[in-house]
Amino acid sequence: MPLVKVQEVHKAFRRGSSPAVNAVNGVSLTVNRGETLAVIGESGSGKSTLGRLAVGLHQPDSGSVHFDGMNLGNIDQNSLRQLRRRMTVVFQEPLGSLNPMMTIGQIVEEPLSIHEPGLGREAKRDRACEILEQVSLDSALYGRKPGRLSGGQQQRVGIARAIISQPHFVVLDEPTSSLDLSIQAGILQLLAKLQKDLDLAYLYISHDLASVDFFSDRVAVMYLGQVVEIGAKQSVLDHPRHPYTQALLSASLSTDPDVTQEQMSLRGEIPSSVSLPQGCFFYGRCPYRSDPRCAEERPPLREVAPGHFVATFYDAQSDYLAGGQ
Amino acid sequence: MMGSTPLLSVADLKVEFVTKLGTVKAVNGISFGVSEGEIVGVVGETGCGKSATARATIGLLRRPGRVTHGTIEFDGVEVLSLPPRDLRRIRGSGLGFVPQNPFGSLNGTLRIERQFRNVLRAHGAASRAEIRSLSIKTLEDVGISDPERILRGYAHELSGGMAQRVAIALALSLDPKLLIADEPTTGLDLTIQRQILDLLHQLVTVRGRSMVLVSHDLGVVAQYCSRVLVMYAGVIVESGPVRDVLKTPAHPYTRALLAAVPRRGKPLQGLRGSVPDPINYPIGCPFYDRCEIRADPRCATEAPPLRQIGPDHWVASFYDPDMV
Amino acid sequence: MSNQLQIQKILKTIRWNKGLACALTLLGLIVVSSTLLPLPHDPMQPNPYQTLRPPDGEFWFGTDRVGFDVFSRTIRSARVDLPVSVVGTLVSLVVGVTIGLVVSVKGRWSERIMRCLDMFQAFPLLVLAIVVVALTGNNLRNVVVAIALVNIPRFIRLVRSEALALREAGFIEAATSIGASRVRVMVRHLLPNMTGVVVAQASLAAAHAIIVVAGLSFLGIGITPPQASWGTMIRSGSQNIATGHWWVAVFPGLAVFVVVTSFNMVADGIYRLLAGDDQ
Repeated sequence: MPLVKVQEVHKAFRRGSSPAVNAVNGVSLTVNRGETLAVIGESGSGKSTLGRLAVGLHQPDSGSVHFDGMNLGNIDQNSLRQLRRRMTVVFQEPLGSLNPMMTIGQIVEEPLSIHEPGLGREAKRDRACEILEQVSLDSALYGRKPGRLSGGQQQRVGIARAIISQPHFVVLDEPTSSLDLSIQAGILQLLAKLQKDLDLAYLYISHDLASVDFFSDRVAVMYLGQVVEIGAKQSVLDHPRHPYTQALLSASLSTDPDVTQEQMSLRGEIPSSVSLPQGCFFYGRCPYRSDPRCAEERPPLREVAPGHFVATFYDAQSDYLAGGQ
Repeated sequence: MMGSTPLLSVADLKVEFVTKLGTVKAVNGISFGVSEGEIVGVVGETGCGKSATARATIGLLRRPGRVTHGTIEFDGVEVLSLPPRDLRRIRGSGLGFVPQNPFGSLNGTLRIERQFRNVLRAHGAASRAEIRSLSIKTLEDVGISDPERILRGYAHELSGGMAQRVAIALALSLDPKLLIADEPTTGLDLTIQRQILDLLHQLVTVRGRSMVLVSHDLGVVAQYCSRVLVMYAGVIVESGPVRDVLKTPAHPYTRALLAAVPRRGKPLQGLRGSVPDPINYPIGCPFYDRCEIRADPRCATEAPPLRQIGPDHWVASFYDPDMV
Repeated sequence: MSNQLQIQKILKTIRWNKGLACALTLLGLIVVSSTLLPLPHDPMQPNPYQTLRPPDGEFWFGTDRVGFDVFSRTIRSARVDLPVSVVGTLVSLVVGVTIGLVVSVKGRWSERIMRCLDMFQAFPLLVLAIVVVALTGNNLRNVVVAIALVNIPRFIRLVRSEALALREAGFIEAATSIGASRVRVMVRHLLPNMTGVVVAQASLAAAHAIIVVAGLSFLGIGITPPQASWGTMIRSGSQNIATGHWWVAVFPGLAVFVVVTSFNMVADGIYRLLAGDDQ
């Protein structure tokens, strides 16, 4: 049984009288114990919202999210809070996710205060220092406030807070987007090591293809609130079958000046999430539009290789065999 | 340097920011040149001084930053000693600028059309018709399919990618000889980013212009620049043709940076420590604290000067990769 | 941080925030002098042979119609005006902050409460205070109640808007993500990040309260002579101004002015500290 099961979730946000923003439009996926599922997409793809839905920080308008067999929408607040011991989040903005009035020690210990209230002060402090060491932070930082730390250090604190309760599942919401490349590497390495040591399942949300390539087992590609392609990393990244995935991959820039990639050109810009198109969401920008159904029907996910699913009427395989792309 | 006289020549530039906590030495004495038809990349992480360099070159340093030393010669004219009016004339028609955040440089209260008019009129364009046709043409050049609608509208109606195209169009409308682009695609989606960079590259090379492209992204520099300057702690630590620097990096920082790019199956190496305090730089090599190599006893006490290790390939380090 | 560094830091803060230091010292002085220091003359003992004397060496602020020493009475009045205002403000703070936190969760109830507040706040505070005291009885305790009631909305508003802004901050979502209960989020995360503005607002509320208390006692409500209070002093002194004996009303008036300004400066100083902290 998968650890996390997301089924046909929809989520729209309403801000006052403005029209609703359809952030997530029918997403189903699973995360298994100990694996990393990466979710890539650009702005408007809904990946951040999906991450929050997966841990019950948002409730879906329709569909369900199951964690270890339990439906997050059906349980009472108390049980949901208790479950938060086993599923945590590392956020994108390290400084913003830390209470500026609390010390590092207090921040890292808080999950213990919530879930193990019987623990004494000394015991909590010991656990906290242990965790700080695990994330390669000097335990001397225990008494400092977040504002005095560097970006990389702040993010390590965020990670420490997320793992101290010994979770099984961690949502990583673009954990290195706001950090420099040289710091990013250290954080990714830390996350990989922690996964091995603590048998963690990750939902790794990112827009950076290089880190996804390094870090994931399976990859899901999102566009306008839908999963357009999902499968094993090598399958999706090396043999992309959805036109959007192909375009996304062709847009990446190699650090090797001799390796040039022709970008697949897309028309126009990402459409707004307010009024969703009728047929395939990608129709307006798609360079292929190879099937008469494209404008009218939403293509369902279909299996094109073992474990590799794609939501498109476009058949990359046949096009390839026919000498196309 | 190349045989022809450089279009832009920066010598021993120093930029400081006076703040409540002390004087931040953002740029610590850098020298470089840009020839005609060249695209030079300036790459580095937060706080290395690349943005300050770009802005100082075009005279757009924001207070409390100021140039404290050095010369900037553009097209034979010493830019730093120019009176403001002459500087404004060079800016625009000689030196163009594309900023990181287009919404910061586009006036939110004026129609786009009006902003084009302000820019073009300040540089001598005459009639309304002339201005209008030039605006439309420039917008078309940047890939905007309905320029008239854009001209009638306001900046906040545009998406990030569109706004950046408009900012580029404004900068290019005066056909500057040298375009300075300060992280022009940071924050934009990948697919849009690629389009904008391809556009910039094409517009610059087709007209035989030059560009200084500032970025923190090694991929951007690798794909679009012919030469690259790697900056760290306010100094240039390595410079040379893109192929030489990125495929055979000599400076430990450049090597570390390249090793930090995530790649499938390859172990990732991060950098320990953090950038030195820009108010109190330590003596010796600025990279010493984080360097895994530390090849020479002089590293801790002397700041290594730039030395040549190949045709046009310079590095500021005592470390010699060939000597291992 | 070593002790020397700490002292240096405090001195630097004081130097930078002269207004705050000044105002706090002044208020401190007034509190101390009204409670502990001996006064030159007994404020409750009239001197029938020294009525309406202008300020001189013996009676620093002069004497009034009945022969009270204006100086001593002005200082003694602080014993009434200050505690009534401060206690009233503190009560409204505690009640207002609590309600404000509870109401900061989005929902229909919070909207309804805010609309009631709007109605309440449509009346000028002085009028509301008069109504409250008129309804509950003309004594000191009810003046405190009136001050408290009348100031609650401003704390509710403040705390609610601060909380709504803070809830957008990452660390609030982070707290929820590790299983913090709503109460825990309010007490450990929202409240500590608001203390600055709440204290500043309390200072402003106290300043306003002083004026309301003085106003009420001027009108003869709540505090009545021979109890010394600035409002009653001004009231009795107002009759003397026409005859040229200005000191009877002016000095208590000045006292009100000084205290109100001090409270305002305290609030100002706190805001500047908060702004400075965001370096």
